[in-house]
This record gives sequence, C-alpha cells and structure tokens, in this order.
Amino acid sequence: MTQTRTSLLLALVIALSSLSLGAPFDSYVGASAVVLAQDKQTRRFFPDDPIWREPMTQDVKNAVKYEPDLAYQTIENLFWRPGDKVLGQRAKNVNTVDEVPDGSYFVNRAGRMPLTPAIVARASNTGNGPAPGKWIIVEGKSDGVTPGFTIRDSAKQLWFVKFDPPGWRAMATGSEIVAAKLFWAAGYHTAEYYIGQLVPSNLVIDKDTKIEPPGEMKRPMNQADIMWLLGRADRDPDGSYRVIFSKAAPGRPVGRIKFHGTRADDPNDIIPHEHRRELRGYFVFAAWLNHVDAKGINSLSALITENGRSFIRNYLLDFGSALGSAAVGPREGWEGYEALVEEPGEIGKRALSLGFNIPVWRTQDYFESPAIGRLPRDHSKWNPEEWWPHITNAAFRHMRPDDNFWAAMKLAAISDEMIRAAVAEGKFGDAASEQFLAKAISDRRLRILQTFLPKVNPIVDPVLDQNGRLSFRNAASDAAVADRAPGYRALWYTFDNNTNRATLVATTEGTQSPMVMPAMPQSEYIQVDLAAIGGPQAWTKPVSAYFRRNSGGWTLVGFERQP
Amino acid sequence: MKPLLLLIVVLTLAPAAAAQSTRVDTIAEQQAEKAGQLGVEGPSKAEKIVRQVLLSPLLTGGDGLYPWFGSVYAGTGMGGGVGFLKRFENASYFNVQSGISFNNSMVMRGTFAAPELWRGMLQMDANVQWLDARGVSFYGYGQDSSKAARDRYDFNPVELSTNVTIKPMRHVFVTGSYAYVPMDTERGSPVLTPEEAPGLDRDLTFHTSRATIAYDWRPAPGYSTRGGFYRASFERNFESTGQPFSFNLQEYEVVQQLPLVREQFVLAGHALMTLTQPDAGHDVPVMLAPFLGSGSTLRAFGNRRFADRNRVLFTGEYRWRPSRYVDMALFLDAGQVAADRHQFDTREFDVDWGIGARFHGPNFNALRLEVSRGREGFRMTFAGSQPF
Repeated sequence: MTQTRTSLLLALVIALSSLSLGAPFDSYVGASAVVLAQDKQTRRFFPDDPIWREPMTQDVKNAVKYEPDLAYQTIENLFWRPGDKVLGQRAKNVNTVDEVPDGSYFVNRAGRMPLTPAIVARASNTGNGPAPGKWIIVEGKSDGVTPGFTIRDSAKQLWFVKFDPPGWRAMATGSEIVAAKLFWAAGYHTAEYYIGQLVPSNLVIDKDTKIEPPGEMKRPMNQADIMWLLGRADRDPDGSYRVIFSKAAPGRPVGRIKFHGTRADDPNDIIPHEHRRELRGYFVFAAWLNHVDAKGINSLSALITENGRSFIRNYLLDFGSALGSAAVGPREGWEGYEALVEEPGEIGKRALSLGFNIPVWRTQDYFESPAIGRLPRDHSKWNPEEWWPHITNAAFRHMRPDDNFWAAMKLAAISDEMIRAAVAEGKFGDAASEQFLAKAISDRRLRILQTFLPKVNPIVDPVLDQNGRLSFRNAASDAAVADRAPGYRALWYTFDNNTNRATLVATTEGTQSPMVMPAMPQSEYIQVDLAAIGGPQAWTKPVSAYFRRNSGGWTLVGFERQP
Repeated sequence: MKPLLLLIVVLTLAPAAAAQSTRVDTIAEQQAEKAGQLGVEGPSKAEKIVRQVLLSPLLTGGDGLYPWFGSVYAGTGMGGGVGFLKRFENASYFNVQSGISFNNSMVMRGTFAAPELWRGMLQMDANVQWLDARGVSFYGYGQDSSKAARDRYDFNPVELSTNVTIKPMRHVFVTGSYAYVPMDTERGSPVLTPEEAPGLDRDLTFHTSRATIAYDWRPAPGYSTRGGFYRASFERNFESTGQPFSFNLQEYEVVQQLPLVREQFVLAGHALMTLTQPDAGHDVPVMLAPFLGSGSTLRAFGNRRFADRNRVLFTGEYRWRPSRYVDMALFLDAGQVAADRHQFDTREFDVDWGIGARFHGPNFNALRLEVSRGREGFRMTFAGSQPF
C-alpha cells in the first residue's frame, strides 16, 4: 500500500513537473505510465533471495484466545466454503525457489536436513515423558470421542493423557504416535508424545478440578469419575492402562489453525492461509496417514515468547483418528473415501440405483487387528486424489498439482526405514500388525509419489556450475514412478532483474543432465526454461530456473513450476 | 528546471527503494503495515448465531427451555410446543413438555427419570401426562369395517405412571410398569352405536400393570442397520369404577435386520401380534384396542383404520443406503385385526407397499418420508421415528 501510494505520488509529481515545463499532454501521461509500470515490475530477486526463514518481524502483543466452534467450522466448510473464491492461484508463501521457508507452521526437515530412522523415531521428543511421582488431575476430558485427563506431574509440567478403547489395546495410542512422528518428519510442528502406563492409584484429583459428564452439569471431579472414565478405556491384566502422554506445547494457547484468511491479531500473519503451501500440502500428508480428522480443532496455535519477543507457532495435534484407528474403535470403511457428508450428486445416483452403485469401501478386503485397527489390505490401487478427510477446508480446496508435487517430494525423502522406525515407536505389541502397518504406510507413500510426481514437470535441483554445465534431476524417474524422459530442451535467456524481462539467446537439447550452457552475453542473471521432449504432456510445460552470477559461478535464486 | 525535477524524482523514489532493499525488508514492511491495523481474533456473526442455536437445550441436552416438535397423539397430525429440561447428578433429569397439534389437540407431560442407577443396570422413571386428543378416528371393530363409517371422538386421559427397568445382562431388559389412567371420551355426533363402539362416551379409570421382557441387540433402538429386538409384554388393565372394560393383553414383537455387503443393503423384517382377553362379560374399550393403520403399521391406511381385540402385522423392507445419513426403502406391510385370534387368516390380510426415504443420524431417525399404496389408495407418511 505504502509503495503504491509512493508511486502514485511520484507519478503525480512528474506529471505536474512536466506540466510546469510546458510539456505536451501525451508526454506526461506517458511518464506516469512508466512509473506505474516500474511499480508493477519491481525487481524480481533481492540480494537475500531465496529466503529460508519466514520473517516474523513484529512482536505479537495482543493475541487473545479464540476457540472456534467445531460444528460451525463443519457447517462453514460444507456450505459456505470460506476463503478466496478464485481457485487455481499459486501458493503465496513460497520463496523464490518454490519452497516453503521455515516458519510458524512448518520447518523444512525431510529433503532438506539429513533425517535418519533414529531422528524420526525421536521426532519432537526432548525427554522421557512425565516425571515420576503422583500425577495430579487438573481436568477431566469427558467430551470428545475419547476419555482422558490433563495431569500435572511432579515437575509442574502439564500432560494430556489419552487411552485406547476397550478391546483395542495400542490402536489409538500407537497410531497417534506413528502419525505424530511422521508429520514431524514431513516438517510440521507437533507436540511431544510418549507411550506409558498409568496406574490409577498414582492419580490425585486437584481440589479445583471440574468435569462435565455427558448429560450432566459441570461439577467437581471425584474418584467415581476417574473410574467412569477408565471404564471406557482398555485395561491391562495388572490393572494398569496403556496411555499416550502428550506434552503441553510451550507458550500460551491462543486458538487453532484456521485454513483461510489470516489471524486478525497477528501482525506477522500476512498470507491468507488458503494460499500457504504447507497447509495445502497438509492434504497429501493427511491422505498418506489417513488422518481423516485433519481439521482445525485438532491443532493448536500457541503464543510463544523468546528473547523478549512473542510470536505464534502452530502445531498439529490429536492423531488418534489416523491410520487404522478411529479413536473409539477401528476406522470405519468410509473414512478416507468420503467426507462426513457425501456429495449430493453421488447420493442421488446411489438412491436411484436401488443401492447397486456400491462404493468401493464396502467391498474391498480389510486387514483388521486389535493392535492397529482396520485398514484396506491392499493399497496398490489406492488413489490419493480421491482421498477425503471428514471435513475439507479452504486450503485443501486451493491445492494445485505443484503443491501436491512439493508434498510428494517431502515424502520421497522419507524412507521405508524411517517409516518402520516410526511404527516401532507405536509399540503395538503385535509383530504381524506392525509389519502390515509399516508396509501399508510405505505403499500409500508410493501411491502418492506415483500419482503426484508425474503430474507436473518433475525437474528439480537445477545447478549451473562454474563450467557452464546445467545439471538437474527428474524427481519422478528418480523415484522410479515414471520412465525417463527421452530428452530435454533448454531455452536460455538473459534476464533483467529490474525490468523482469527475459531475452531468449539460444535453445539447446540433450538426452540427459547435464546440459551445456551456450555462449551467453554478459548478464548478471540468466533464466533457463527446462522441459522434457516427449514423456507425459505435463512434462513439456517448462520449469523456469533463474541463476545469479557470483564470484565463482552461478547461484540458483529462482525456480518456478507451473501446473 | 530539469535538475529540480530530477531532485524531486530521486527524493520521492528513495524511501521506496530503501524499504525494499531485501526480501525480508519487503515482508517486514507488510507486517508493519498490518501491525497498524490489527483486530481481535474471534467468532464471526454467523458463528455466534450458530453457537447460540447449537447451545440450545434441544441440541445439547442442556438445561433450560427448548422448542419441541412431535406428535401429541397418534393421528392428530404434527405438533409443536415448548419443553424444559433440568439435569441432576447420575444422568437423572426432569423434563416437561407442552404441545399443541394442527387439529388443536394438546398435551402436557412431565417426566423424572434416573436412567443410570446401580451402574446403569437399573432405570426408573415417573411420569404424569394430561392429554386432550381431538377427533380420534374409529371405524368400528373388524377388518371389514367401512371407511365411510368413521366416527370421531375426543379423548381425554390423565396418566400417572412409573417404570422400573432392570438390565440383568447385556441386551436383556426386564421392565415393570404401573399406570393410573382416568379417562373420558366425547363424541359430537355419534356415528356408531354404543354396542359398536364399546367404551366411548364413558368415564373410565384404569389401573394398568405391565411386565415386559426384551432382548435388544440392535446397536441403537432409534436407528440401526443390524441386530434384532424381541419382546413379550403382558398387561393387566383393570377398570376400577366397576364398568365392564377390564382385560388382559399380550403383545409379542420381533424385529430382525440382516445387513448385506457391509450394510450397503439391509433386509429388515417386523412381526407384531397383540392379543387381548377381556374378563368374562367385559370388552376391550375402543381407546385401548389394538389397531392397524398408521405410519408404522399398515402405512397406506388412515390412522387407526382397523381396530379389534387382536391384531397381527408383518412388515418386510428392502433398504439401501445411498448415504450414511439417508436410507431408502421398498416395503410391504400385511396385517389383520380380528375379534378372535383364531380368525387370523393370511388370505384376509390387508396388504400395502411403498417406497420411502429416511434421514437419520448414527443412532436416531430424524425424518421419514414415505408414500404407500393399498386398496384404499395412496398415502404419504411424515414421521420422526423408524417404522420399527
């Protein structure tokens, strides 16, 4: 706004100055147009591009807690479809090389830092769980689908405690651990999770603790309430309970992730959330782990103060309805295949068919065990594009193939060994089920790579070395989900960063990387458009790489992939 | 003048250029701009409205006043009114409702219920109800009663009742009930004689005791796609003013649901038999007689179209599920009323068929729309419950 106002002022000044000089009418109109054009064409790359950390330059002083209503969110997303009405726009928070900088939602891990199975197994954990000693119940969780407590340990740390449903030992708790580890590896902020045992005699009710049992008024919690809550949980033969401890996230809770618009009280939050790539790409990761409950209420926005400044960090939480678990029982067949409310057209077709238009989830074979719940036995034909969370959101609706590609690239960097390490942390106690679950997650990952990597031009990692050799990778063929392209074509341009104008110099072709840069005029920046010759149609749409000359050669400063 | 112009241009451009020397600066400028325009994060007006609606006692089961919609009495049309709910410990509650129907029938009822006693194995409730049902239909006893011979009466019972249910094991329910029911009826211009319409135009008082044993393994009685329900009830209706209308009643009911293709299809069957045995020299009063013809019995026939001392009903449904919230059904009803159980004859059964849609939640039926056809023509059904 400030910039626009300044330019308008400048245009006015020039026009008035020209008038004062007695210039002809068309010359001052032209002068104004040039200035406005310069405003639109501000230089494309800045010296600090690409940035890898999202700036949070403002102190968030006045964020207040706002707990959105789940029913309203459901209704809003079902009927009103909030957020930007213009679909198909490129994500607006990517840096100039088409990546998401580290920030309040996301930290680049898979594909950017050297992950190992051990690192994925540890994920966000920093300790070993609640401190020993009596655990004081400060709140009873009687609402929601699963019973639970909030406890304070002897180190004054708050923990959320959740259980498995009776007869499904390890299903909900184990699934939550696995999903949390893998979401962390993908790059999202998650809480610390630990599997443990809870002995009822170790619990103490705080004098101020309240509970609101279903159908009753809120009242002080008593010992019978503990027994009632534990009665809805799976109990081990020795009278203890397997539980998952979730460490309270640092900072002060101020709400949940919203998937459209920005937070009104966060000055650092300037990109509408439906245009944040990591929130669009969340769809792909949620589909991967069948996290059907990927909605705002299963997240947390916390106001964190570090070094005297406050900012908001957003966490993903509550993965009890992921993989084969629906938290209170095994996953229902429809979950992941249909939204909470099906498409009206589909309902009509099924109504008219006397029921013989049968959805696939009613007929496919399932693997079911008390340890992991229920999952389709075969994922080789699973289509991640047809996956449905319970409730979709604006970010998911704005998702484009390049967002999916970005997410798939993260998954390509998560190995089967890392998946097995995460599954082992679930401590399911059933080797066959663990083996199946790890394979299912790997198979779903493969289907995501097969589906989303070839959907756009999959050229990645362009490098122009000091000898003028341009190397790059084809992510789809590298992941063995597509054949190699027969060849590549490179269009070489000089690029004027101030006018954002490219001038074609030469076209070269080659059968593989690297390709050799032709003789180029002296230029600080060059642009190379790279496309496949042959291969899928989407691969013939070029990606654009921008290099800036440096003392030793060329540095990648820009990369664009259009679907 | 030209140097002056250049100076102006340079001075004007300088701040903008300085503000955008880096990407971080550019973003910082936008964040600083927003910092001057901060608002309060909170619910929109629409969300506030939705919250108000969702927090109403009708939807939350919370305390307070709530709107009520339902049936005042079978055959009196849709009704509406207001209720008040007050909850107590152990899931017990006090609930009062008052409503009026389209045909001006009225009801007031109050219930105190404790459904979770003795670790949920014991349920108790106490009820009081005042009813003023207008224009209740009666066509005379028998399956061959004429539609043209419809009589109408106003029915005014007051009922004080209590029920105690014990759940000795999973799925098993044993219920004992007692009701004190003084009632009177009134006809404006009688069509049927007192002999043809026993009990009408009299003030009667019943002491009704009932024992029921049931086995219910449906996931939820309000809506389910599998499981079964089997019930036997035995009832003693003693008329205490000395008038000849005391009788015993037995009722047997079977509901069976067979899901197919992971509940894509459900074959459902329902059988209901009600038998009465009047004391010697007594008869069953019209108001308490078994009947057929309603949204849940013979659906193509008017309310209480057939009544007699005994009845038998069979229903079969082919249901399919286009949505998890919408079921469709093709159905067939067949039933008969008879003065004597030995007169039941399948060749005498009245039969109807139809198609319907049911809008439901996971464990309740919200709305049932059906159209059915029998020998007396088409009939639409709008109901809030499952047919069985």
